[in-house]
Amino acid sequence: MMIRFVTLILTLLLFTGLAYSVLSMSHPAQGLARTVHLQIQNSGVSNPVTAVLMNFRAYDTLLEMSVLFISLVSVYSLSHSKRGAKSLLHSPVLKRLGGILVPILLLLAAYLLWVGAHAPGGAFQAGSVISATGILIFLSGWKFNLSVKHFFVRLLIAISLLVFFLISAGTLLLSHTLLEFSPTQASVFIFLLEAAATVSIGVTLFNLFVAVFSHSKDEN
Amino acid sequence: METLTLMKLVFDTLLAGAILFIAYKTLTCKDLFQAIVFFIVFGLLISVAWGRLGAYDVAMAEVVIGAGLTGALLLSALVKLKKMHIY
Repeated sequence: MMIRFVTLILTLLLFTGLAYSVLSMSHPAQGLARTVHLQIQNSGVSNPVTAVLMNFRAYDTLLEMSVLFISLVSVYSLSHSKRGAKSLLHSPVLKRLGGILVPILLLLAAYLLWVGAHAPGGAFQAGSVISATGILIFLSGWKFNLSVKHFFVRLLIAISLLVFFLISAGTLLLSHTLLEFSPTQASVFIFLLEAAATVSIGVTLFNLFVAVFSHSKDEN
Repeated sequence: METLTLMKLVFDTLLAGAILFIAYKTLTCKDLFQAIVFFIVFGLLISVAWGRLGAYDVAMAEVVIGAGLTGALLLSALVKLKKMHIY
């Protein structure tokens, strides 16, 4: 009872603080939108979100990719499944639906990756669509081997970090600045980074799901 | 034009109320499966809210990762938890 009371007081204090900070914001808020808008033609893309994520703050994205990588490594080291992943569901409806949806979803992922340069979209959205496609295929009971044991799959998981590190090293050697692209080459570099990130995110998120799911199957 | 702004206001109020209600239900309901379903619904509503705020990138990421993949991961973790209770 005492703990509940203390929690209530703390929650109310936090709420008051948050409400106060929101209400005391200057209006209109002085964000970084103008700075981004001024530099957008140097970024290689016309979507401000992609420009920030892949060019102005590319090292943030590099660290995000490392977080994903480390989370998959830790999940994989905790699970001790011996056999390959097998689905629990065997529904003909799911199988038929997968046959229709999988090509559309892959096309959607490619579109999202491409459209990220000038409209909402990009690597994270496209990658998660790819992993959702993988989960759909997996749950439909289709046999396919995409587990972490294969060297090729490990390469796909690490490819985003590899490309990031290579490009960082390249920019560091050539211009002595980390991940700073010249305006003429920026769009090529951003596309390379985004394509690699899409593949890595897709395979990583899918393997996170499979690692947990197949483990529960093994305990039968 | 006047009715459109009024409709948007009503929609936003309903959305905000629904988000708070679903968040409360997610935290308080006893059944874990129900809690996960509420969490997925919460993610979908949050993504609608991001869309209303004009952050379509975040809305897309939220609906795929927050609602879809996290929901799937939580469900498979729940299956595993139930298996552990049997032993």
